[in-house]
Amino acid sequence: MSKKILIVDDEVHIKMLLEQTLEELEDEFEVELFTASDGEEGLDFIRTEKPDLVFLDIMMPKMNGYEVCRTVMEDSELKHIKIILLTAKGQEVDRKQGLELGAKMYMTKPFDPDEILKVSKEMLDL
Amino acid sequence: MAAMSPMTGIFKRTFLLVFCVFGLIAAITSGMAAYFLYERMADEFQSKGLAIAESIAKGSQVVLLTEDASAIQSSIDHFLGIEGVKYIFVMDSRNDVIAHTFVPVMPDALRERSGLRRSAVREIDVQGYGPVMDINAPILEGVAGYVHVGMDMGLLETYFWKVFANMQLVLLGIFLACMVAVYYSVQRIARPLTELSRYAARLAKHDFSAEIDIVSEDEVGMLARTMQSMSQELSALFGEMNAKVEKATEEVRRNLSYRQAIINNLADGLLVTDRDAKITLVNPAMREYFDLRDLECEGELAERYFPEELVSLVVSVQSLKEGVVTAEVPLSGNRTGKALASRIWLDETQEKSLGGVILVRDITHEKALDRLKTEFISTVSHELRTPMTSVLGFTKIIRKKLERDVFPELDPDSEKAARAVEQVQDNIGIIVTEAERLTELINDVLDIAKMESGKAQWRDRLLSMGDVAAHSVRSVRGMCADKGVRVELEVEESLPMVFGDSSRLVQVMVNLLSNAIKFMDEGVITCRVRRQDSFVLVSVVDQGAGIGPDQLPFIFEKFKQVGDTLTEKPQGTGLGLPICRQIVTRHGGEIWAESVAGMGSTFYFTLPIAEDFSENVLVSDEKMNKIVCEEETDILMREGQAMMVETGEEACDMPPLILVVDDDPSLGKYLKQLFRDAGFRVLVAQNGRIALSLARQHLPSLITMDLMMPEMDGKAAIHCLRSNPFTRHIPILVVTALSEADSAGGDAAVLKPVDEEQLLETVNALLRDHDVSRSCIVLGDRASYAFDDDLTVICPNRITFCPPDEVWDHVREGFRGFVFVPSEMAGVFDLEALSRFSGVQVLILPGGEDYK
Repeated sequence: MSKKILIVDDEVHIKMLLEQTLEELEDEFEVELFTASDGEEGLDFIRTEKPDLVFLDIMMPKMNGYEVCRTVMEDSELKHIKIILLTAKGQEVDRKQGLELGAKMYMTKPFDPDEILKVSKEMLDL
Repeated sequence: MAAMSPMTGIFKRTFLLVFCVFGLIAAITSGMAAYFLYERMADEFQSKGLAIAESIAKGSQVVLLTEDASAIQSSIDHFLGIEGVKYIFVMDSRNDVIAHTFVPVMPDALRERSGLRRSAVREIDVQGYGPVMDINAPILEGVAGYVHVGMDMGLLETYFWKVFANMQLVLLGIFLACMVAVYYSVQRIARPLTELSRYAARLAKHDFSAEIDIVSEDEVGMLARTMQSMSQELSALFGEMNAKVEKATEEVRRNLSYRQAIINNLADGLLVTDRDAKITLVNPAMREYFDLRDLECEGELAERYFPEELVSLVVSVQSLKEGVVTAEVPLSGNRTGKALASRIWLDETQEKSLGGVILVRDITHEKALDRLKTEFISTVSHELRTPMTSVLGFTKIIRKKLERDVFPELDPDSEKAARAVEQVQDNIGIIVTEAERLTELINDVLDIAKMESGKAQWRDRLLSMGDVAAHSVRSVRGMCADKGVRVELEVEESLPMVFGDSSRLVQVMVNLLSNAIKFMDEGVITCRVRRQDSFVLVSVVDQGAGIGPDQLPFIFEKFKQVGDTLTEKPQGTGLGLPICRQIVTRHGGEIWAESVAGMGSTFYFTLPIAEDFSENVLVSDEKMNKIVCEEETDILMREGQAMMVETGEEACDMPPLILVVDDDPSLGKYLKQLFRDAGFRVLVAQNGRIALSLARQHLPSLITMDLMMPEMDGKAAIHCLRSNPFTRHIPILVVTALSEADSAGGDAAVLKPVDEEQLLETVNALLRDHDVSRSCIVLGDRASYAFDDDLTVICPNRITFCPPDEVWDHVREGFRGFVFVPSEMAGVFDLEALSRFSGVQVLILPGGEDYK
């Protein structure tokens, strides 16, 4: 069964960058990539498709990353989903808050595509 | 006469004296006069008697011879009528009395015969006649007999007394007349004297308007005039003095009201308290800040009117030796104030202070501005980082795709294509490097902005600069390896600890070291850490190009770089050294550089030795006999423990340390024994202040706190412990006789008298709850973690860093606790095997920005 990765970010370029980075996995392994442009869309997708790994931006319209993360972690059916928070916010509070909410990782922009690949592989046990 | 009273005394005495003297004189005078009269009259009596006797004797010769008695009788009777004659008698030669004037008989005492030829006088006392002068005249030389005439001496005595009495009477009369005269003359002298004395009395009452109407030219008049002129001078003097005093008073009043006006018009709130934390002064701004209006709060305890934050400041300022303490306090109307408290000393030598001065400033606006700034920084950070992500990310993808998919497809024989490939690779490399540099710049700018705005978070604790230096040297080793540069580290032995944020200090050292490496192609960099006075001095000596004297003063300024930026490619952002300076200054140290162009340069920075947290406190407190400490070995063990935590050498399996805070020595001893028997290590403090320093120093696993204590009570101590990020996590068990113990802010409370079982149960429960602080191992090299701040919050004092392969040894030896595995190691490390050990929990640490 193929693994699903969801990218939630309102910035088109970042979404593209992540997509293009992760395309490599699509080719190599059985991985499907999905994208969402805001928190609500992302949450809907997570509920219906239950992806394995979510790259979640924090500052987004409609619903921010923290809320999405909290909602997912409070749902026993979705709890297993690995969430990597992505943000330009680099302050202590944010990091702690993210980890307390149950995110597996916290990556700050700008990130290295290779790092993203590496982390994704680890998270998906590829 | 009341006003005469001072005179009457003198007058009475004078009168008495005069009376006595006069009396004596009078007595002597009259006595003498009477006596002389008496003598005179006695002589007269004698001659009178003699004359009578002789006349009788001559006239009686015939009669005697004829013995005609009756004729004799009649002749002597005739003499009896003369004054003073008492008796006359005539005797014949046979001594028979022929005639006599005695009635009825002649006394026998006179009958003897004298047998004298001549007249004789004798004084005798005759019964019934009193003293008489008996004059005996012979008749015919005694042949015919004798005539005796008796003169009455008693009459003389009567005369004597009469004269004496009369004289006395006359003298008395004279005396009285004199006295009246004296009295009036004394009166005449006394009146002006009384007047003078009244005048003097009024002068004494500072009544200089008094007049005196003595016009006489005598001594009294002179005295009066002298006094008058004296009073005029006094009056002038007093007037002058009064004017001066009034002037001075006016000045003081003006000064006071000036100061009062200053205090009243202070934009900041001012509160002055005495040693007992009672309010002595509150200015209007302060009243406005705390909604006190017109409440009379002077003399009351500060805690009645002010919030807890301010009161604890008032309390803590009492034990302040120098400097100020600050706190943020809530003001009325949802405002925030910053309170600054200092102690009042009258002069420096004084042991005790007069109390504390607290200034409160409304910083609501500043806080809002600050928040805006923080939001701005956060936004800028986001807005800059997002495009940087795209630039850097896409460039890397392009490079990858070109190298993987495009370049191999090109014609390997085409020289043009090969050149293009090379150029494209170069260009992309430049884009990546520049983008990375830009990212670094953004990070540095944000870093320095955060520090300058005071927004940076500092995780201060006791640490050894030796360790920091060692970590830093290790982490720049990679840079050295590429260049043939070697770093040598010299750390002085038994270096005192400093108090600071280790990751920030590593940042400083790494910055200095990498700067040195950057500007050197080969050679040795020497890094020395040693003590200098009350500082730890760190120096980094390189053998690079050095810095010219024209540039040396500016190297710590923002965006200044050594070298000609037009011709040389700048390396770095130009913010490294300013950030270093920010960090060092923040720690209370100094940073500077010395250099000779072409000979290399030396960067120095100092950090103050953590005196408050070093053994000094313990020693001085022990001197004061206030801490009941265990055996010396225990202290050494504890200190060894503290060192171990700091150096992170190995996991510590010592029993938890409990800090017992109680002012009652016997209870302290009892609790100590109790906890020791239960297998804990124990430290005892006798008041809140000592507890604070011990807690900061030893970071105990648990604190038991009495509430009622001298110097600093339990509530204040808990408040301080809770507001310090390093002691905030320590569970506090309140052990008290007060029933409102729960409100003191502890985690749990046990009421005195203590129930042993309940106490131990509570202690164990609290320790279990805080078990997370027991042990944790972090995989990897500490130096690679610039972010251990989070860990210090989770595991405040038990972090051990160790290489992956050593973890297994620890676990097999029975390690229980948390193992943190950085995410990039998660793949290469057998997590499953590790998590199979009981009591071991494995946590993956996020990497991300920390490995940029």
